[in-house]
Amino acid sequence: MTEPLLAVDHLQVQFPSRDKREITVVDDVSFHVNKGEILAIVGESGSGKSMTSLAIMGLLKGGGQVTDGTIEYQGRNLLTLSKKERRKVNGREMAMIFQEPMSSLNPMLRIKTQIAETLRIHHPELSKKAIQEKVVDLLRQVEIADAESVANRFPHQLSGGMRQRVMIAIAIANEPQLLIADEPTTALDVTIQKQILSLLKDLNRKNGMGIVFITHDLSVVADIADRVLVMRKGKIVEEATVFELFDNPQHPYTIRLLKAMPTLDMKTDTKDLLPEETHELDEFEDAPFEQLSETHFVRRKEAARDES
Amino acid sequence: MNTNNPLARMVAKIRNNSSPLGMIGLVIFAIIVLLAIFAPWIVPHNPFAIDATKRLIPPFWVEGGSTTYILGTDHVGRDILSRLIYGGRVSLLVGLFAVIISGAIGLLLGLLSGYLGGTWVDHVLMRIVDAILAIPTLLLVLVAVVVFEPGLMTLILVIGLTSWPQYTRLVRGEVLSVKEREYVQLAQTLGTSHTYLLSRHILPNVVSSFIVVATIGIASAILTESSLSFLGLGVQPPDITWGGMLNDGRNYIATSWWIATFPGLAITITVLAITFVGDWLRDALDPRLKTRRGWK
Amino acid sequence: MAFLKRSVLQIVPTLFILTLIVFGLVYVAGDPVSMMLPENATAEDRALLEEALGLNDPFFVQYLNYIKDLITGDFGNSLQYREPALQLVMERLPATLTLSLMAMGIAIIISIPLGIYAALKRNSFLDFIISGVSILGKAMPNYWIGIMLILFFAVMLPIFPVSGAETPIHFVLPSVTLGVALAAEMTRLIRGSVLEVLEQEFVQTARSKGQKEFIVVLRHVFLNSLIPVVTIVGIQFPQLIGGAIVVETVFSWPGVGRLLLFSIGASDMAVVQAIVFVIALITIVANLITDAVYRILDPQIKYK
Repeated sequence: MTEPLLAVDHLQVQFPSRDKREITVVDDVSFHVNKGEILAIVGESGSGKSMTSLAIMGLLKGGGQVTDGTIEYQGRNLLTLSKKERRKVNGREMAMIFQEPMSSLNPMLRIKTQIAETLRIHHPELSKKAIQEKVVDLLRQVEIADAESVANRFPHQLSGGMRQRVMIAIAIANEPQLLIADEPTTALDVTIQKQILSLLKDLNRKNGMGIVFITHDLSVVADIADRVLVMRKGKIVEEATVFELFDNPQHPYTIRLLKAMPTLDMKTDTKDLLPEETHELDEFEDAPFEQLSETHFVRRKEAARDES
Repeated sequence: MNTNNPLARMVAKIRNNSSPLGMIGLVIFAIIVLLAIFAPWIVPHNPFAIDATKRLIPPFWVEGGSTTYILGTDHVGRDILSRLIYGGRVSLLVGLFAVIISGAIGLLLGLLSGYLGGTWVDHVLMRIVDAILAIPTLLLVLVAVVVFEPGLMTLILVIGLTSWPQYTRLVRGEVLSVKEREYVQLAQTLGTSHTYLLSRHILPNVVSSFIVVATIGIASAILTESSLSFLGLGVQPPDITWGGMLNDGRNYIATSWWIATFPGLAITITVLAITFVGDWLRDALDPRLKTRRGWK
Repeated sequence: MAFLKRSVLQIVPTLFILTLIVFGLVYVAGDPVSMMLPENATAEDRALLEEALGLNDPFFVQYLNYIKDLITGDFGNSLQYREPALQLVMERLPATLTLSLMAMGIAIIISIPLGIYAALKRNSFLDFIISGVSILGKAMPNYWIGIMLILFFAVMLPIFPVSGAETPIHFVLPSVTLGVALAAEMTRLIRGSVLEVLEQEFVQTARSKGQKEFIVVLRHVFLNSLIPVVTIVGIQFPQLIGGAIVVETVFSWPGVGRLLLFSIGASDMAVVQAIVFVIALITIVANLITDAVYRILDPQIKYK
């Protein structure tokens, strides 16, 4: 088996709380991303999916810290890198796009300046002219028609979809191997969502860029992902290929999420959306993983295992 | 607890949001108020008594000082501690009444302006507010003091009549934002009467920010008063003011530092105490302001 | 163009209301006649002078005449100096402006690093100290700060002169005195503003690019935190000039503030009025500059 692009092993992230007890937001999370693969991490807000991605990028804020585990990128443990070495990885080897295209761009700087920034950091040898050309080229790559003029604009002059494209242009500027997309389509309306998804898929196919796609929306997952992780309360509860997950969901929480997806026949039973059985889900929390196929894992209790 | 009573809700909010600094401020402020009220019975010496034989006695811990005059005496032999206790009276009176006047005017005009938002009344009022805010408060007060006789009443009136615009602006803004809220718009479409809308929906929302700003207003009124008294244009001798005492001490700073130092400390401590209380109220009543400033 | 129009719309009503206030006050205060005449003047003399000054005209005629004089820059003559009031004010204005601008400069130099540092090291010991000192700085009356500075740095340690404005060293104590309150206010503001910007996602974007933290703070955080700060500095400018009036007294600074107090003491209304108008104009100009800076800084306004 070839070495994975990214391997996260027993990752634990904790935040300090007021009464000096640590709050664990990511607990014993292990997964890997292969080269050119799209891995989706699904879960409701607070499930730890964003914290996992921020930990990978080394961008945890507010006292959050990786307290256990390793994050290996192409065999190098990112957690032991110096700050300087770490900075060389960010923006070059791996890049990130965020949920709010409205606020993820600096409102005071022109688009071209913000794209050029990441080029300059990692390629200080480039001439001004080369950077300028590259900026326009990148904007074209993310399918912005009016690239020269957009480059000269400020973020507030662009629509949400356009801004997200600019964010993607920034992210792919140095042709990273790995892109972490934290709910990149959540704030956009449906048609724009589709465009951004297909753009990401194209980039994945053309450049062979691995993508970690974080979302709470399973319908998006079906569109884009190769494999899926389902997270709940800081832990992975199920891991499977996208086909296995949709055909044969095993964890009750996954089943619940699938049922909550709006479908054309609108038979969604609202009872399934009610959180009345969460204690039942909690019982699964510490259950061991059971392997159902080469790629399908689920946390289950003994009893549940017998029934199925 | 009756949660429908906005006042009760406010008190509960203040209680729930305890702040050690706020409590300290409140206690200090209470002590200053009590000292001022009971000044005639507390003071160790007659604060007005001039005694040429007791001139410029330093505080007790300095060589030549005595515990009879704990904080020393001034250039005409008056006890500084006693004068400090008396001086609080003017500052607190001016602070309190000036804010009552400016607050009342500001609240009324702000409600009017916000309620009639967009009409010519609103525009005219806002232009007046802009004009007054364009002039330094102190300058405005100085000019007014020339026209009227300097004194306690003048000071209260003048500070009160010149510092209302900030309240007007605040209240107007609050009213406008409350008016935008859906439940108020709903109430309006349902034909709710104006007075009901004002008293039920708008006032309770305005009151908490208003109280916060008014508290800080007391502090700035005290600062203005002391500046004027320092310049000799405030409350006139023989009435005692901290600003006036500072002015007395100025000329003796090279030889008798204590005369000017203690009244300044008194002003600073009073203003600090009020600021602490104000910050506490702001954190408790107006979380929006808190996050905006990013204070703990 | 829109900017110009808005400015005019702002200035004209403000000045109009200002004239009403000042004229109203003078009208109420009245009786410049007895001040101008010797004590043994007869009732006839009074009547003549009143007539000559137009004091018997109706209120609005007097007001119109007053406006007419103002537009031509004629504030009347000083009773004290027998010189045009405006000229007197303009002679002393540079000293006051220098003092105010130096105070502002000091405030900016102090508050920017302290405010940023306090925000970055939020809740640390130094943050606590910085925040505490800035609350204190706002609570102290500036004339007291001045007197204390004189006590420490002119009396106990004779480093700086106590009064006058002849050499640069004379500027130190007065401008520090005047700058303390503004520095305190600005530190507090910058801290809050930086904290707010730090929460924004574009800061994360900058870090995800692999940018150095120092540049992230300067280019992305600080630049964005400036906008609210600029607004407040503009609002604070009138208070700064107001403070200058008092600080000038403490340091015997030969500026407008001392002239004002002197004129108030002598009921020299022409000079007082001239000062009020000049300061109001300066404030308005300061507000316009603030507005312009704000526009230059914030592309969201510049490119609507």
